Amino acid sequence: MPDYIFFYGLGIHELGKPWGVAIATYLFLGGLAGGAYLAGYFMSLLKTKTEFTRSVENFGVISSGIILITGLMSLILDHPNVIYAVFNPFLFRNLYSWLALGSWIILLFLLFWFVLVMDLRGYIKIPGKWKLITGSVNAFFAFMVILYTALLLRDARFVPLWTSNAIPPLFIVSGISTGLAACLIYGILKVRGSDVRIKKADVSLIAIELLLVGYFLWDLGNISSSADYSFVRAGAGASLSFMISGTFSTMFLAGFVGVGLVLPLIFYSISFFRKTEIVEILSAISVLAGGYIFRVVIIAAAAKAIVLP
Amino acid sequence: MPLKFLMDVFHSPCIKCKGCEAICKNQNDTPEGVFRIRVVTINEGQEGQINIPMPCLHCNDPPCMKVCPTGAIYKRSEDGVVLVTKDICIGCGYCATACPFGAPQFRAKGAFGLDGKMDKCTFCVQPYNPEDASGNEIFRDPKSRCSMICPTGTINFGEQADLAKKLRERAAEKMAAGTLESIFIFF
Amino acid sequence: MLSMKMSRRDFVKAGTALTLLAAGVGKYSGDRHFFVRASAQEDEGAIYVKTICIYCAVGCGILAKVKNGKLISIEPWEEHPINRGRLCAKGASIRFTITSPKRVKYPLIKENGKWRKISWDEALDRIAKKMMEVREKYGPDAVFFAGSAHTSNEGAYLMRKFMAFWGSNNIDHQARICHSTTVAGLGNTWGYGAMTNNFNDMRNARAIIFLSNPAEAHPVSFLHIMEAKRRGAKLICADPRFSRTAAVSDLHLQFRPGTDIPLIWGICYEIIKNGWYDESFIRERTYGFDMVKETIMQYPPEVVEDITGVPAEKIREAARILATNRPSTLQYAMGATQHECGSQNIRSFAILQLLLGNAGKPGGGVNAFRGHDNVQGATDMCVLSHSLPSYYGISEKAWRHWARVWKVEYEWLLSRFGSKELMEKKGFTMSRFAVGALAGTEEFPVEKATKIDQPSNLKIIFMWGHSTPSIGDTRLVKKAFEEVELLVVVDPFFESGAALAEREDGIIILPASTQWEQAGSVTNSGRQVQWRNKVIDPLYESKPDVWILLSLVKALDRYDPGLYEKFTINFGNKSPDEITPEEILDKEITVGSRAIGMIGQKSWRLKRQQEYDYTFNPETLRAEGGPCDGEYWGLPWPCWNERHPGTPILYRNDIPVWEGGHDFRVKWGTKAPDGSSLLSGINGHDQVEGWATNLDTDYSEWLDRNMVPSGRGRARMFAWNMKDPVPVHREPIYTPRVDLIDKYPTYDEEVYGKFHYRVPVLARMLQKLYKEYNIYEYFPLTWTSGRQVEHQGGGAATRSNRVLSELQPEMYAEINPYDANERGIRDGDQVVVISPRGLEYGAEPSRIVVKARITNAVPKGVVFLPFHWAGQFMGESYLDRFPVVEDLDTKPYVYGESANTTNSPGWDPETQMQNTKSGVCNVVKLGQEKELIGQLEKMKNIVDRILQYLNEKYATA
Repeated sequence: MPDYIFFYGLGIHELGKPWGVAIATYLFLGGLAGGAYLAGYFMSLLKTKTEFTRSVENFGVISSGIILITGLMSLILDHPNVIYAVFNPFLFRNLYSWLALGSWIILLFLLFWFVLVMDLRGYIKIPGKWKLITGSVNAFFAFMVILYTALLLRDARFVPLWTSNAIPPLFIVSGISTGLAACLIYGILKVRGSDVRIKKADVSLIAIELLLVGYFLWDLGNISSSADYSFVRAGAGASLSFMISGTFSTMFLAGFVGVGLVLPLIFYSISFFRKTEIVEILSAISVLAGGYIFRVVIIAAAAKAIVLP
Repeated sequence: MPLKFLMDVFHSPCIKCKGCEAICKNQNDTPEGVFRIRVVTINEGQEGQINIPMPCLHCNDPPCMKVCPTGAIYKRSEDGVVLVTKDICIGCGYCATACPFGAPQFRAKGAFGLDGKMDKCTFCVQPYNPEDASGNEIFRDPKSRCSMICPTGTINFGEQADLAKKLRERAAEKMAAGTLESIFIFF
Repeated sequence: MLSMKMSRRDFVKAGTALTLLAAGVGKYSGDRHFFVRASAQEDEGAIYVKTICIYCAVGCGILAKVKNGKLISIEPWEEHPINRGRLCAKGASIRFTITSPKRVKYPLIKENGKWRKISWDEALDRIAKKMMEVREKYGPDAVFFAGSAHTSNEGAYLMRKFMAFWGSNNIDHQARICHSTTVAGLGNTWGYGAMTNNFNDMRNARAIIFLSNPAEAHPVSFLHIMEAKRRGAKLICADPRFSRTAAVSDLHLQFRPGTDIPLIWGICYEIIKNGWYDESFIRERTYGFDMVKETIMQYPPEVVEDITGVPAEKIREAARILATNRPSTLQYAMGATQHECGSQNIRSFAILQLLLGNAGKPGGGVNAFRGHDNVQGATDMCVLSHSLPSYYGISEKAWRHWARVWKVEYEWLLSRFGSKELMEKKGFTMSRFAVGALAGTEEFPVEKATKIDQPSNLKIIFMWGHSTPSIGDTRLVKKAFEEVELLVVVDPFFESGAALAEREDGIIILPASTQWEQAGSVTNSGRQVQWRNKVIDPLYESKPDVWILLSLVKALDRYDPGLYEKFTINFGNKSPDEITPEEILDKEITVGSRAIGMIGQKSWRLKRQQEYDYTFNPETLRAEGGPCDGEYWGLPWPCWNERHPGTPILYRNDIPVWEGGHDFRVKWGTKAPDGSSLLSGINGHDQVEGWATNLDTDYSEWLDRNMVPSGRGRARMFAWNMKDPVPVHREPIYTPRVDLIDKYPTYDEEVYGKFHYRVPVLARMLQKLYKEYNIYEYFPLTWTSGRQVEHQGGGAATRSNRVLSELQPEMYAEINPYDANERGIRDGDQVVVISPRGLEYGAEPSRIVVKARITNAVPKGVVFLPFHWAGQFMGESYLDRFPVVEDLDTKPYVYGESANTTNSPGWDPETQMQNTKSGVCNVVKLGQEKELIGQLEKMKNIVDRILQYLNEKYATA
């Protein structure tokens, strides 16, 4: 007698309500926004500035908020009830919940972002020292935005896939990596040139990500074989099989690992030897696509097992 | 004195008559697609087929309550019933991901897609629409109808102490009859 | 490890992990919400009405919550002795049936292809006028009346009385196609054809053998069955499917449909071989053991294994369980009755219980679970074509008895009929009435050549609370509905038959109110008579059945003066509005129904029991103290007089008759043809002189002497008057085991006589043709049908209930994965189930289009179909023919194909029970059925053979 059954509707067989593609989009755009801001922020810290870094620096900061707002729009489209929250922000008062906490983080991030953008566009003038502090504080919030997208999932304690220790670092690395990729695309298109430091950073992030993916799968395998309770094992095992050999294996292996990680590595390595903008753009795009696919798979392959002893 | 459901899940005597699902709809007027209790069949059509009614179990430490961003889910202190304040529920569905029992229910469609407020078993304390004609919130006595009408006695309901007493009585009955080993057939 | 941490915190395995309690440490406490209880204010002005569920025959009590004359909710009636407030899906959602917007709100007539609203007066007048016109032209036998088991005893009784006064025996109801073989089988063995014990008594059984699927058909009976199991009873389930009953049973005997007798004989063989039978019981209380033994010894388990497919070891195990755990009870329902050998199936069950000495004991007996809320009552009132109320038959003696009760002259009754011969001739049955409308018409070649045994064809058909989907061969029924001059349908919901018939006019629909909008007594399966209170006034323009019937008589009275006066003479000739069900029960039913002892069930007693429900002990069903002291719940018949407590367990002779004692009935004389005594060996005596026809006695002088008015006789294992004196295996007409046909042939046509209930019946001839033309090669799968827990009967009520429709929204065919994969069928595919039905009267093979449900619950080679569905016929939806007028939309929420379009032919020679449990069919993907039908073209000359036979046999008719 199998001691578990699965819940349908959580995206095991289909991406549907309550959590589906829209949530995946939101998570992706949240990570992208944080990553883009962090990319811009780090650019601004660089000692040797080029035309490329300057344009990317501004792009990263300005785009981050817009991307985040787009993500929120996607969320609202999926769950119109969020509008209630927009008008009643003080409903979000259960700070044990990462959803509530995350909302406040997003709000603060957007506030600081707004101030910074005002400054960048020249509407207001922040004194030099305060500008750095503001930017740094917001970098913390940007980081938290990415982290929140991971911890949001982690609160669902009965989806073993989401409780894996690998998820938060994966989300952070993936978020920053996609942010860098977005900046790279903008930079190349804008100034027709690139910065090798950005590429190196992205390559190293991708390498870390590959390692984390390995750890992630190992961790899942571990849970599925040695967790205390059968329903946890069953859920983890099911998620694992969905990603490795089941319904979402193509998405995960070919889409995320292949297109999102291995392919950009190859493209970047090519671009180190031969300067071709198109290859660089392609690699950045595949990073973005991979990041998106990753979020979709994480939502879709989430198997929750009913608790039966 | 928390109130609890008690169900045998190893040797479920449930025959899936779905009386619980129907009386719940009758008592709480839940709309189409919202099931506060559902009977789940495992190994259908094979040896070892068992049916298990799955309502909300009103956890002592409800995971849904912890993740609810607005605090709409709360546990009533006097009897431990987990309730939803529908006014402030924003229908985010976060509780559905957190609950291991699939208790939170969301109506599939509503006007403008807005009617997505979470609904769940309340031990028949609150109907689907918890406001009466004059706008007051309805609170009925906690008396779960599914346990009252369950023909096979699969669903039991009561205060934890009473349920424990029931288990003891069963065991004592078996002891008196000299068939204690059969206690594992039915609790 | 993260997951471990989570587990520790949130889950505590309770004890041996047997129980599932959400556990943990309460820490989120804190008074956050101040609240007031609103229930008091909500319940202000609400009253609770005690009433009885309207679906199956368990007879569950429900409290209806009524506020301002509106049904607002229901509550469990926890003091009801039978169900203790327990309900299944149908009972629990009953409010949505009663208040369904899909109900027929006012009388409708179909004219020029359009439905139109008409008034009650006009509708009744039109019907009466047409009836008189037909009577003038064709005689009274041109009317067929399909009555109902869903009305109260009073409604059912008036239906039978109405047709008696009309002058025809062409009246029948669901019991014909439900438990008529029970009446014939048990009646011929033990004396009375009803469930011997009751639901509560099953908890005393130490072993139970199921021959049906009560978990889905009678879920609330499991309150008592599970109690028996908790007390250590062993459950054996004999079912071709792995049903939900099988899932909770200890032993599952998965036999081939239609092989009940060999299965039971296999068990009996083991019992006799090992000497497990109750010798003293057999010696003292039965007759014919030696003759039965001879037959039984031809069925050793190995032979049975070959016939039934049940391993011999399992049969031995079943025999051992039944023999070592006494008393054991046997439960069955449609799965056993609906066969051409149905009566014999039931007799084999009775014989098994006699061998084990389980008859007339608490926890023993043969428990026939009946289907409708009042099918036992309607059967007792004999809404049947072969009997007058209370099983008097239709002999002159019976007519004279009832004429006395009705206070009319026998000669006047005789004058209402076509002739004395027709008055004493059994009428058409539910299973074959279509032939009565179609004989001699052009529709099908065989029907054209068919003769019937009455002067004219049927011209008017009443469908009064009877559903079409449950009748076999839907296509023939459809043609019959199209052929007659007038079709009258009386039902709270729109009965699909009226839409099935493709006709432009000549249909009148009368809206009956549901059972909760009319009061009356109902008899449940355990013969317990309960009073059903009226919950609300009839909704819309609907009317109670009793009112409609009396008004129809009144309308007829205009063309047939004096009819109403004669009809209501016992009720003071009051108007239909003023005659109450209490009067009908007290002044006629309980005066005349002496043969079953339905005398003591006066309405005031039933109501008193209802009021003092809490004084009844749920174990014994007997009142302890209080005004009903000593009475059994429901005063189960025989209840000999107003002081008798009722007889909860039939044939129980170890207690005094005054306490509910009883004995086998002396029904066939005191001596058997071979000269041995048929009186009980304990304190036997003949039946009391005139016990069934003397209207004045209250039997106390006999009861005081501990005599049973129906005698103290013996149970007949050998019933010399039946077609098979001892049950023997007979293969279904269409069977997958063609090799067994010659060894175990079905009945010859001669057994049925020239006419059987006024129609010719084919049996052995079809079986021979089946083999000769290799029909089995094209239809290799076994066809069987059954119930879904969410729906009931033809489903008109349950499919109009939004909750039940949501719980079970579809018709399907259950197919084993092996058979499905062989045919390339995936779960959820649309498939066509084709059967040879129709070949025998010259039509295309019938077929239905359903969804495939692939499951291991059915064994390899078996297809299971639920039969509650209507709204689609041979692949085409006819929902557009359902009336949609102004504010009226009668289309059900969900619809599907009627399984019985494809049942196989076969009729019981005793009762003409149809065969809807064992047939043959094939399943193909939708679109591939043409190919199969094409291959069957070469079977065209089957029809010629049948025509030749008919022409020879009926040349002179």
